[in-house]
Amino acid sequence: MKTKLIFSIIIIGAIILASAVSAAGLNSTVCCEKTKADSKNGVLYCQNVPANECEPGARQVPTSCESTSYCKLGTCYNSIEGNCLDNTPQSVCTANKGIWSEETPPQCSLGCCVLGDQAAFVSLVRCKRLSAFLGLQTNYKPNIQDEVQCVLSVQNQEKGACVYEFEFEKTCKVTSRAECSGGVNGTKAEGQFYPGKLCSAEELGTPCAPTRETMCLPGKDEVYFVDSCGNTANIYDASKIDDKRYWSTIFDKSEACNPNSPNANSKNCGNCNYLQGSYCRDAQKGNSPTYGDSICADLNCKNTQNGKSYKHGESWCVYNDAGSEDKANNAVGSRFYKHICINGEEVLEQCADFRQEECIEDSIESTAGPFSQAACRVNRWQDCTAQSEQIDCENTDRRDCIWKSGIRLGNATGGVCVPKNTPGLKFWEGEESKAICAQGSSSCVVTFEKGLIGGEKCIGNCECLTEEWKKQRADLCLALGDCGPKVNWEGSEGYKPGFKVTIGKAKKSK
Amino acid sequence: MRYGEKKGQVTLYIIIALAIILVLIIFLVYPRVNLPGSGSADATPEEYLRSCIGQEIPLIMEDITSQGGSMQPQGFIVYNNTKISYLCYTAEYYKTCVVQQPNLIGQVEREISRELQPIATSCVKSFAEEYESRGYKISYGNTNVNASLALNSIKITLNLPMTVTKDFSRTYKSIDLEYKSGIYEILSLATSIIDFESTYGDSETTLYMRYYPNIKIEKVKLSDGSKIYSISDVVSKDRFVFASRSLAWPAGYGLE
Repeated sequence: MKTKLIFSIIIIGAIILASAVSAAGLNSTVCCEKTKADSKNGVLYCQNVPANECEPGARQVPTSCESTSYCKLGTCYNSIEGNCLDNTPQSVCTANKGIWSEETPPQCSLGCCVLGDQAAFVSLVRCKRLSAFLGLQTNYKPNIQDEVQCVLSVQNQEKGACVYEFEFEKTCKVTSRAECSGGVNGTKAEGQFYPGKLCSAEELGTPCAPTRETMCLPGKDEVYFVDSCGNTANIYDASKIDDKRYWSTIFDKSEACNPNSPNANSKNCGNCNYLQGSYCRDAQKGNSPTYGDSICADLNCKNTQNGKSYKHGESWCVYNDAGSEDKANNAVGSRFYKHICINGEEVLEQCADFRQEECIEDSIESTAGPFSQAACRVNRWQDCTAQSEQIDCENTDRRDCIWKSGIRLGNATGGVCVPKNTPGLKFWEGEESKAICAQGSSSCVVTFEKGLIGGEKCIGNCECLTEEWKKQRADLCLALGDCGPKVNWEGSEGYKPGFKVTIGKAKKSK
Repeated sequence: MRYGEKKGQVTLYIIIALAIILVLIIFLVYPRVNLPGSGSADATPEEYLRSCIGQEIPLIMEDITSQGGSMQPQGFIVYNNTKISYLCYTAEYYKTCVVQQPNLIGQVEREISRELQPIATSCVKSFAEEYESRGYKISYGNTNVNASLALNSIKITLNLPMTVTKDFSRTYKSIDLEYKSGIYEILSLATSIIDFESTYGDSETTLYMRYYPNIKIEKVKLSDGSKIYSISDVVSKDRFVFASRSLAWPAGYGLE
């Protein structure tokens, strides 16, 4: 009987243990090849998630995805497009008809692809694909291993008129010597090259003649004249529309009209300058040039939100919510913004919410004057309160904190180290925000001495009775995060004061 | 007026009348003869199908490109009541994302092909019906659509065995249609941004915009760490929207 009882207890214990292990297993993190479809995020691949979130039947192993074969990250090579993508799980790559490898395959090595008078720093297969799109013969230079060199290599190409026969007719194309001798427009027609000449030059005897049309070219800033064969001629200059020399010889940008000006919205000059904020675009109604339909559009931004004007491509920081920045008192819900001037439009980009990122800004000197650049950067506030020395606190290489003198917190002497931009907290859920804010709580034991004939006199920690002390503690609360008597990003106060001062008698120590 | 002159005038009227009757007969008997200004009543199969399918392409493209390249996104975030595909995602904090769609261009091509399949079938059917009503004999098999993206264009190949017969007979094995679009370049940029997201956890959109003058990139950072990217061409107005969640930071220390 006794043996039976012991046996039953062992069985029941084993069942309970097995159930517990099984329950724990359901919630343990696994590398899941395919998650269960849910209404919030649908189906995702190769995620480290709790086992109960993994699709039944999908591969799952209770380890990190990096340690599995099916979700190991590597390079996915797309043999059609000729491009490579890193950090792709093996199963995702193969499911999308890619070729996966743990190391970067040789097909992904880059070289210089010459595409007419432009260049791209891409793989060989990509070069072939781009050349095919443009009807050009593949011209790939694997020995050029630098993107800048690649771009420069095509800028120095000699250009001129290439006269050739196509379908028994003499025609002409403005191109490089290499393309002229290697087959024009993807054909095998080899032409005669006239360096520095335009197809509309009378002495070449081509059917191409001057027109009053203009056009924008891919990758070029300027507005160009176009001849009757569709070739680009020189930069648009209304005063030279009937100038035979201007229609027969290639002129450099510096020799064209107003070379040092952006010529934005100029009706007569198409010498746009992207770095100065103008670029060839189709003219808008009411802003037509004297000839043609293209104009140097103004890309710069005037009178932006902060009242200043910026150049195309410039970016700057904006923090215009309530509260203050860099003073350990940011408003609840406030965040940093990066503003960008693009195509005459002011575009804004938020830095991460809960002030986990802050915006930094600097200016560089360029030929066109100062050029402002901004970026969102991680707010390194996490270990501020752990610093007890001012020198460590203000070490900007390591953290983004400020030192507040005269306030006590933990072991710090003479002051407290707090985040320069206080982190946002999810104070409406969980216990973590309570724990962070609780660091600001303090109890101060004030000692009084009773007088011989009545009354009492403060003799210890008397400062705790002042309004100043109360304010300091409230400031500390504000500096720890979304704690204390804060306002929100609009400047509205909360429903409660945000702190409480309780006065009572201290318990006598034994 | 002399008799001879009057006779000549009558002859001229008769000739003009005969010419008018002849033109009318030709017009009625041979309706497919293209007269100047007769419009597209006798469009070729290519022209008819290009027009019929072309009407639907902008709508399909808008649906596909505003949802991250899928008509029915698998892994997504709901933003402004629209499901937007995560092309790179991690459920964890402090980690860079894992690529979810390494072949974005191929994916969009497959989606376009799939969406165009019933439309192309319907267009072929309506073409056959319209031309049969005009006396043509049309015989055709199953339509198979294959879309491919290229620089500045979308190419649609209709694998369509079809014979058009009337006074002549013409047989088609496939019909190639081409539409102007800058989506290929935008998808290539999106692929590059995914690469940045998966490697560094974020991408610097300003650099892209400075490098490509016609490109505008907007990035919205949501409170859960997800980002919504919108890449558009300010000239062609083509646009592509996708989502990513990479190197997300929790509120506070993220201990919960």
